[in-house]
Amino acid sequence: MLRKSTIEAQSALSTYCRNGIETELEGAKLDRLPHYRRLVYNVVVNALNTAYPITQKYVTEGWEDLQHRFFSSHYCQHPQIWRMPEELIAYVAENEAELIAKYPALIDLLRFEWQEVFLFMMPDLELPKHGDAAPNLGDKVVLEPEMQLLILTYPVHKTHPSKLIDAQPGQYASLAWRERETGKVQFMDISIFYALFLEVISSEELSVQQAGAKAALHLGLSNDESWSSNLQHFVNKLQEKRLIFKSE
Amino acid sequence: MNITEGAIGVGYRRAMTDALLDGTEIRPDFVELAPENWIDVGGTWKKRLNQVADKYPILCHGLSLSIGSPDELDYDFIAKLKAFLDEYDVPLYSEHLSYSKCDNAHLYDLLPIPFRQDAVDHIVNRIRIVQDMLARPLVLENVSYYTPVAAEMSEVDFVSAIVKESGCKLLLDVNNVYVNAFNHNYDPKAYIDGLPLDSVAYMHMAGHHKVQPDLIIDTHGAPIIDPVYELFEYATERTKPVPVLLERDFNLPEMAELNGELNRLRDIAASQWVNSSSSSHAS
Ligand SMILES: [Fe+2]
Repeated sequence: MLRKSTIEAQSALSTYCRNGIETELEGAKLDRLPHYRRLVYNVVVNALNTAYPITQKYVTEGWEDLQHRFFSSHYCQHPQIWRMPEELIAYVAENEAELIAKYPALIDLLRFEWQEVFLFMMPDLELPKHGDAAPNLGDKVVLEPEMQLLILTYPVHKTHPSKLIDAQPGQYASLAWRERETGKVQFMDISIFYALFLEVISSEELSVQQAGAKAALHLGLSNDESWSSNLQHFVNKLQEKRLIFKSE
Repeated sequence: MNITEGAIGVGYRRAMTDALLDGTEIRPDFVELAPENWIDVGGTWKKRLNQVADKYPILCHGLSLSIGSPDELDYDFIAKLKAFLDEYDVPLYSEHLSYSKCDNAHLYDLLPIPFRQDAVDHIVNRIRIVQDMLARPLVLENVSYYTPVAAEMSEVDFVSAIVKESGCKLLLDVNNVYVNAFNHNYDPKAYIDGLPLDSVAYMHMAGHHKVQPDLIIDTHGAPIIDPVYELFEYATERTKPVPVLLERDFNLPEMAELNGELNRLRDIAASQWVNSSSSSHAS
């Protein structure tokens, strides 16, 4: 069993490394302690800057302060540092109302940037068995599992960070996937209707037509006949990029 | 995969991948990597890692085990670690005699443990749990530190007690001995003499930076300096042949320069450990 004073000493040093507030530490050379804070904090800041280069440009005032608040008050959970930056998203959503008011696209931008990091790095997922022919409206389909959808309030996926401050809220969707050949992450701006269609078809065993109808009904597009021919175009486009396949 | 005693390896950085696969400018006998940087990684880097693993034996040197932490061990993480070590047939897994998580927060860097008997007992207990879970010996490294914290015994007594009482193996980081001896005014050779040298299973060599007249920071960002080579010679005279790693994490030089350091280490190892054969990868 560790003695209380041992635990307290360990906690005091780690707390100091997290918040940088000078502290009494039994038997320590006080002039050496700032090196620990510097070394620890550099590692964290580098990881956050690497994961969020665009956010760093968007939050022109307060990015450094945000990093400091995050690391001092948040308890980083992931043992792998490359996964740690994801924790910033929930932290900001729960604790940073003032910053979000100033930078309304902040959460969307963090999610968008993290998605790219994660898709690039994530474990390989096997492509399910599928048929060879291009899917038609009446077919059931399987989707590329190394693909993710992001529903956004701000068009962070198609706006330069310097213009983002003027962006208007709305409903946007971005589709991202990791190319099997190159390992590169690619993006496609898609409509909310297509996003909804993808959500439906990945969660229910429906044909393209049935999933499209469900998405159209949800969005109040049922009377508009054009959605089904548009949907066939969209499916063709996904099929060309090898993101959707006819079921076996 | 077996690794020859006296083999000389290099710390794998992603920027080295092409040179390692090519193998003309730099030819280590093995590479060492941090499993935390590779567990659950797919895509491009998984493919690249597999190519490197096809060509070189892989040793692992962890970052997040936090063996000296007051917090509970992370059993999920250790299970993932074991799967990774098994997948890459890793013959040697080492970690740091330090802590990197406290109060349920990861710090992603190495903090010094109070040199105290209760910490020894605590760590000895945890080493046994980790060794059982991983089904392989744990090799623990003497870390560099810049200040003692709440110490009640010397560093060498602390390290020695843990190794002797737990039966774990020792990763002797020769540069860290040099750095600590400088920073804390002790004799590095006496420190080495005080360690249970029979337990040394692995050695690290690296460069460092002097940031103040009385302080060296262990940066792994510069070439190894001569006094550290001398200390390495001193250590190799007193240990059985073990794998030796060159750590270079920052300011990566030309690969030929790095290979020069590998060759110098190889020469020293070969002359000290006369009965050991150097690895086949080097020839
Ligand atoms: Fe080391």
